[in-house]
Amino acid sequence: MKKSKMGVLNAGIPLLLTAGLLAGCGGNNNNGNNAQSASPSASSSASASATAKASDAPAKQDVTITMTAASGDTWIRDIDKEIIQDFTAETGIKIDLQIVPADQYASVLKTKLASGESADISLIWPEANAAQFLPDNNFLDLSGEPWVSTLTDAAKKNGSYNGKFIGWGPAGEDGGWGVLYNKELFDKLSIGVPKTFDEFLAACEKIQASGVIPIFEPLKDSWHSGIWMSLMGPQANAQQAGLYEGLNSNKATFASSKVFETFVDQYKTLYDKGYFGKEAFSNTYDKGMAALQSGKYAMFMVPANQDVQAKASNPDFDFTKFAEFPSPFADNKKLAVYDGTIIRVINKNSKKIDAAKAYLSYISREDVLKKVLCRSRAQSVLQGDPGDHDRSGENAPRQL
Amino acid sequence: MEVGISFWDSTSIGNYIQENLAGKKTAKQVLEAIDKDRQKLFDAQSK
Amino acid sequence: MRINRITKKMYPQYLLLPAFIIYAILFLLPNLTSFYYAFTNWNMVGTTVKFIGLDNFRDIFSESSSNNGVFVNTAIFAIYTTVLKIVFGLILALVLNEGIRSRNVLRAVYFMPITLSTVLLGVMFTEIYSPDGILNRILRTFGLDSWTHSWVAEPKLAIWSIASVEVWRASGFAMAVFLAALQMVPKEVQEAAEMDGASRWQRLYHITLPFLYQAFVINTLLSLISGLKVFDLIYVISNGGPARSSEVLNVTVLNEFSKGNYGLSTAMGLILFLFVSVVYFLLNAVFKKFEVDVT
Repeated sequence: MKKSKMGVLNAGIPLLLTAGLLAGCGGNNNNGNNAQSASPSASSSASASATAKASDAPAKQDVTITMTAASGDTWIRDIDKEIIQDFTAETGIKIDLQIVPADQYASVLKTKLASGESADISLIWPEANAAQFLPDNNFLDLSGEPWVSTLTDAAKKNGSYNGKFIGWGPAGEDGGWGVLYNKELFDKLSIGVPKTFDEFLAACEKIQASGVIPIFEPLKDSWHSGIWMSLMGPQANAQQAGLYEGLNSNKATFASSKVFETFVDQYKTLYDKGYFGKEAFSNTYDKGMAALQSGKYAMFMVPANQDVQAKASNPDFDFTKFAEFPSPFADNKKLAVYDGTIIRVINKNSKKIDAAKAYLSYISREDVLKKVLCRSRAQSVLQGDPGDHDRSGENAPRQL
Repeated sequence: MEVGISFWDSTSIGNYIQENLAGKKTAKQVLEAIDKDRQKLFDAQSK
Repeated sequence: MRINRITKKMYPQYLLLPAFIIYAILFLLPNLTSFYYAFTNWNMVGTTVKFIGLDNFRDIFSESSSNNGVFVNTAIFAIYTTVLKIVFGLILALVLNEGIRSRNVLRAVYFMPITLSTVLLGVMFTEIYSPDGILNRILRTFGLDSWTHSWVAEPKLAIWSIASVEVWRASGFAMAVFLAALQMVPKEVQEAAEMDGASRWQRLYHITLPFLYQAFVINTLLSLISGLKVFDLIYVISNGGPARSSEVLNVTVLNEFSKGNYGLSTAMGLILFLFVSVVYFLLNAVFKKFEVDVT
């Protein structure tokens, strides 16, 4: 019997479906390849590049290395971008910056490292806070590099993990985090800098009564709440000897620390009394400075050298009307450092290790450092009244 | 004296703190949750 | 002769085979193997994957994980959106089935939101719902200051606000399904009933609705399933909301995945799959029981 014409048509359709599925895969592959062979540009995807010419030091290389960092003023500052441009002009090595939203940065970086797809250079928190990225597995040991010996002891310690030197960053100043407050308003309401938590509560009450929202708290950026808690470290360690060592060797728990528990309760007290304002849960960190400037809010927890860090993005902000004091929870008087200086580390599996090393070596040069320090070092006007602390870097009570 | 606390994830800890604000966790439970997360990392590391 | 008959019977099957093979390899196989990982301690930090039985599930349902809210939120979202989608879809379909002049245009207008990307809608409604956004401004213009809220920043309100976006988005689809079913209602029966003195409501209830039963079943099942699986809308607008108060199952899956607990997030995915399957089969059986024969 003869097969009808319909039979052939019926056979065709499933085959087309199958072919369609397969063509889709192939097509995407082609597109992917095209994107990769495009010339390196400031795209947001890691782009391959032409091979580096074999070079002796001064010859320019045509390489692009990828560098990943979180969003925000504290990671890649304007001065960092300038340094990158200078570096490219001098060596020909281009740097492709990949910025990840700050609240996802840790998990995105961890995932990329786990899957072997991370950038050549990554910016990470130093010392203990680098542990989450498994430095032993992922980051290159730079202890033998010639420029390491030019770094100060503090910088070397900052960039070390588990005995190996893995990276560093030219920060110039790391003043910790404190509470930026409207000095003018405080003077108007005759409020002094609070030295205890009760004084802080009283201050908030007065401010609220005058019609201003006491604290700008960007709850939508939950890492900010986390930083508040991290600032409790020195106080907690002072009251419970050996807490840090215990926590780092999995022998102590946060639950056993009265200071941290007090902090959580006091933080809730502020929220319950309405000192964060009604819109706290939809506030974001980047709107904070504008909120202070408008006079709607009175206080905001920010880096201690905010007048330097945030100057470029807030040109109209009048810092003379503001000052800072340390976190007041649990009667704390110490200026605590949250980040440590963010360090640049090189991925062990990077294919462009030499170019990456060239960048790290470049930022350790004296002329480059001078430029960074002049721009970012805070002889910060925000001295405030930080209580007992030491801002010389080596001795500042630090915890991450 | 420079020391740091390892395995500190500000975003995750901030989320727990905010659960306390919303009344879903007591202060003790917040700290216990943080300890539990860090314990997982310690366990994985020691393997 | 017998061989020919068998070949004829199997012929359609052979044609489906290539597509089925690809489907099996790219979809079925990964999903089934993922069910294995749900019972392991696969995570980002450890180097070995160990079978740990039901530990992941114990973790998910344990007291300290506060996942109860997540299950409740998922159920709230699914049920709330289903009920409202059906109500609005039905009303729109009935109204737009009449001989209004602009009904084709209106049908297109109401259907359009579902063609928009959910991410786009999420960004749009984040702005609309923000404390200074359009919704609050409209309320203030009408003097309804006391009605203004932080729509997605208040823990109790967030999930309902986002569910309302979904209702707005997909009511048009329910309307389209109902409209298609409405075309099947025979006009003669309607006219006969009208002549016999049946009121509008009686006609609606006794004649029209039975014909819409199938459409009702389809809409309910589709809406429930997609409601239980919702992700992009919640993630874009509130990312689980203030302190996890608007978090649904799929968002928790992603959050656990980001924390590096791959085995745990797979277990949650498995729970979601089981949840949706149970709901589907149960409802299907119930609906079949009440099926009305309209011929």
